Amino acid sequence: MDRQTINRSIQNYIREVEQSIQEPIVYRDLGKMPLDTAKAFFLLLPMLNGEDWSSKLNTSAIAVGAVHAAFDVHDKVDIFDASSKEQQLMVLSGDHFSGIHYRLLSSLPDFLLITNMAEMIGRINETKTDLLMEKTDGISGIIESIIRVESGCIGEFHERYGFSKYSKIAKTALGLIWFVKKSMKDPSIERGWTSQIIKNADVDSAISILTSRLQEELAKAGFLTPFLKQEIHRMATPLLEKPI
Amino acid sequence: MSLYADFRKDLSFIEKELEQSIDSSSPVIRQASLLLLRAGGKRIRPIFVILSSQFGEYSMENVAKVAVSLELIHMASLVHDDVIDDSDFRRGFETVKARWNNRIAMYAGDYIFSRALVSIGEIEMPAVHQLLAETMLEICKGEIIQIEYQQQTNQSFRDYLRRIKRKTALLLSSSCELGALVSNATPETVGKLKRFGYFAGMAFQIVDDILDITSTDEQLGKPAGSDLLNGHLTLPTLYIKDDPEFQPFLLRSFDGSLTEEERGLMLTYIRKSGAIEKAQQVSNMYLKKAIAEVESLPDGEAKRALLQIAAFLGKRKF
Repeated sequence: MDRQTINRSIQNYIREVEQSIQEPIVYRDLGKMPLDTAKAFFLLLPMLNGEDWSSKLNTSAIAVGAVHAAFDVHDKVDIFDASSKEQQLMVLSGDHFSGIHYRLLSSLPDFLLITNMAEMIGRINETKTDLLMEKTDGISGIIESIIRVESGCIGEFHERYGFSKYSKIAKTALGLIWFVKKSMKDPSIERGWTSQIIKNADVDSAISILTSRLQEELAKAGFLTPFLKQEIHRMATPLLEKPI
Repeated sequence: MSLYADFRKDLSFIEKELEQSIDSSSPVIRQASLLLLRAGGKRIRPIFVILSSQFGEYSMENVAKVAVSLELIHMASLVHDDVIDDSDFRRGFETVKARWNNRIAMYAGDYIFSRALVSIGEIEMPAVHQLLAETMLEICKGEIIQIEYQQQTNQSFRDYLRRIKRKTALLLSSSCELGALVSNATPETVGKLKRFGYFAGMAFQIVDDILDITSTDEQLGKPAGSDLLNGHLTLPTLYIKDDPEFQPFLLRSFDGSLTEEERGLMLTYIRKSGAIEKAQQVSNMYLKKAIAEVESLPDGEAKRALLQIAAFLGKRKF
């Protein structure tokens, strides 16, 4: 597997998610929903590493993408005034994307994933609310909260299909990527739930903790091809401007 | 409501299940969810599930899961609707967005929706999930279309009927269909109950739209005429939208410049125009169709209750 093949796989996946969630009025007024390529990479990591990937898994993966799209658009709803048509459509498009995720999982049907994913969606919304209301204590609490929000659904997907070993790396890496972006004041992560609770000192500590954690996990990950390990490094190091 | 008397025990059980299902670890989400739950509502979806399930092999366990799920989906949509409509009150209670803010309302709605799927996820019947998923998507589509039509006066009766089908009738129709499906009722019975729910739902929404004009602010727990103030034409106002005396009210409602005094005058004008009676006739027509579907079902408490509910829907004042 080379970088071009990885990119092609991610782009194909993103295209499939876009096609699945497309709604003509939403598309006309809000345009395409930007989908997170880092999340797509870690979701697809088992497939990129050569694991069997059936059409059932592909459909489930698209359902996870629909959930991520729903989260992203709902995070953009204005905290005080959502009365413009654009804002109203953001509320409804998120609901539509959630409905698509449920329809996809029902079409399989994968009852266990429906339940587990729903449990996780609930926990993620609780976590975002607690972060917004500044109810999360301590650096470890903040790190776990961010990891849950960023990778919770990917984790459920991996667990469901026997890819638990990928789940740890995905969680740590997505958590790390979030904190690195936060340190760089990347506008793409300044979402609804990103409150003042996360201070600069916490960000620096979190980066340090997660960098070590990822380093350990990658060292132990004999199942991953060397190229994919490099790719995971590449996704974090340019942002950190130092090797992990 | 006394017409629920025969099924009070089942409804109490569902009420407890509803409360348990939203027992969140997040204090704010828990408070927000309880605020919604305690604001009450008619619980018409759970009662339709209970009654429809009586025509098959009744299992309270399965019925409760479906009923809880449908009521939670309804609640989640109300929290998000209040964000869209910028509503501070619903049924006289402060809305989640007013108590906290839009984001909390978004997360609370998404949380409640997720709990609906947790509840129904335990039922391993593909047809149940496929129907519920399609219903949810259609409801959402209906709301998106409603936004397209917002503040537009060039709407037809057909547009309105299609809109309320998605907005209300579909979930009631699915409540009946799902209740019958999880009880393994015959396909013929499932079909009749589905159609009953659809016709009753159409009548229910038309009456709701009438009450928005004929009730007081206190009875509604929000300003009378809110539909127009939010830019939505409903059946009574569709009858008079081209009336030259009504048009200035309509346009000022839509552009937000209607004064309190004008709101009173507008409501009086609609009430006296004959539009309410015309809308009531349409509602009665749907109720007759609903009753016709139920009449051919086997006699029993459930059939009697469905007929009573249909009669109540036509006359209700709240």
